[in-house]
Amino acid sequence: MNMRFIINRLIYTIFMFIFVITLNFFLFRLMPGDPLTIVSKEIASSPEGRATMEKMYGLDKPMIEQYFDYIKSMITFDFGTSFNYKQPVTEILFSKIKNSLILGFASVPIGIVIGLLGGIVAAARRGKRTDMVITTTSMIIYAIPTFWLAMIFLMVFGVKLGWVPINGMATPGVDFVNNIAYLKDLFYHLAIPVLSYSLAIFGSYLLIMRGSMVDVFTEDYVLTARAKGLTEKQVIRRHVVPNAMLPVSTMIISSLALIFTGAFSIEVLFSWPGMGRLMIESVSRRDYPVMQASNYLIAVAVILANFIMDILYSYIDPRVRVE
Amino acid sequence: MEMTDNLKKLKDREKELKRQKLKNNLKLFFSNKRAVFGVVILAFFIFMAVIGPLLYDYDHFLYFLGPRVGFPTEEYKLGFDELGRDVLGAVIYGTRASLAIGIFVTLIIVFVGATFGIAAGYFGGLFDIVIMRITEAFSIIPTIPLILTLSAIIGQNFSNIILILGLTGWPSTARLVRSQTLSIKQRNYVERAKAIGAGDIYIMMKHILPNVFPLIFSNIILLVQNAIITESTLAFLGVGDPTIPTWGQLLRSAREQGAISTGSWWLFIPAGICLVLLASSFVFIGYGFDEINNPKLRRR
Repeated sequence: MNMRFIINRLIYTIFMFIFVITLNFFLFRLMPGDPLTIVSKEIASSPEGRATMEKMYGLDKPMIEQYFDYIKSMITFDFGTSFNYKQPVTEILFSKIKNSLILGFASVPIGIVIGLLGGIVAAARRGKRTDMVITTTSMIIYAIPTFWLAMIFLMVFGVKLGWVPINGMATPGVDFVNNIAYLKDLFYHLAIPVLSYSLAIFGSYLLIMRGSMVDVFTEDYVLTARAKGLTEKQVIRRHVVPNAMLPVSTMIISSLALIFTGAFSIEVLFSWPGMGRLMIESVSRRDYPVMQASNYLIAVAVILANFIMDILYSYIDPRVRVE
Repeated sequence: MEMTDNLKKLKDREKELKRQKLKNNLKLFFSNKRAVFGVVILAFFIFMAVIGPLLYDYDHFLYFLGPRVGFPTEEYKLGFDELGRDVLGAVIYGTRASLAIGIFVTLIIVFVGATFGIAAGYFGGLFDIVIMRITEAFSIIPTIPLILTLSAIIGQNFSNIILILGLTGWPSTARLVRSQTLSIKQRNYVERAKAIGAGDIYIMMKHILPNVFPLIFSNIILLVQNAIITESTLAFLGVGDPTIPTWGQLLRSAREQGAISTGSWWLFIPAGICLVLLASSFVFIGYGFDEINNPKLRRR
């Protein structure tokens, strides 16, 4: 393994961290309204009260000092107190992140796998009827807004057929006798969100995989493989798919963010108590500490995922290390 | 005299070739069933956006024409929303909003993306590194939270939403344009133009820009689709301009009114179908152009 490559990526990752923190710092200083008034109207209205509060929040220090304090608090995950919940932001966030991850980890891998398999089938039959049907379907689904697809599923399976609950994560007011009962309940609540979320994202993977494979089919080494007498199936499995996976895997890496962020509209529609819903709520209530902490945490997760995948990718495709 | 004659012939021949190429490309495009279908749908929506409001009267501020979330009637074919407004009118007028969002956001993205992309690719050096680092950073940062934050800062009126979507969307286009610029600037005609003393700006405008454009055309079409869908998602989440009727707003009010449980289909089915049709028309057209640009996709 090339040490220089890793160090290079590490420096880049640190640069990204600083970029995100700086962006956050300035964005939230541009926010309209007086944050002190949001915290407490009474105290902020008197000059002495204001001065005390400014001192408490460090707002009396020069900008550059505030900036370094800010970096320090971000690195130590000290996000302050929520304006709305009057609780430490960290506590609120971690309870919500868990719920978002459950939804994300249940849906995104399904979407990716269906997309890749569909792409392989379509590319193997390129130009034929099967390809036409698969590609057109996925183009339409790709164009459907996630939340609308979810609304239709909700109408059919939740309301008309009544197979699954229409919102939330657990049946309210139920004391689960054991973990199995809880998981069963969770599974019912997950069904439509996962179905709609994974369907909504599979189209783009399918189209990219198909495009990438159709490209690879015209390569000389595929011709060679055929000339060696390999069957079409062997050609696809041994030569086309592995090579077509290279560009697709970068896309998968960049879409890892979806696990953390993609489901905003789904969370809102199904009243899923996750990060997305929390963020929407904090925007409408001007709960700045929650907003900036969730912005930051999502970015950190995505940056770290990118770093890890960059390193893994350099194993799969050694060409990137040479750069 | 003879010289100019020959020159004229040469020019005519060149024109003829260009026309031939355009004809071939159009033939190729229109032999693609999906692309034709996309053009037909798009034409329908453009018609609806331009002519619809002339034929159908609708006032977004005229409340309580009927009951809250009232059933469709003889006169109001798609019923009423939560403020008793005519849903059919909102659907027709919403076409304008969606098309406007798609077009203006894409214009901003293409303008900013092409400017930075061409400049970065053409000049190279430190400028290139800085621009590419910035675009990379933006491509990693999740867009929806960034858009939400920006909308909280500058407000949510219609033109601000367009501005925000445009200014958060340009980096991927800039990267694409840059990579095409890198290959085009190596070509002979650019070298030749430099040799006879053409300025940088002239070369970028006259030689690089016109040659980059066809290559990224299919991506531009997909940008329109993306802008339309993102705007509707934002509106659905509650970030939007309440003074302008859009399909996303209808879908949001459907969610807030619990229209799915109560079966008030008129609040979300018509607007949703319009959204899906318009968005997929751009996807179909975009992939149609892709097959013209990328001959590999055509070889069976």
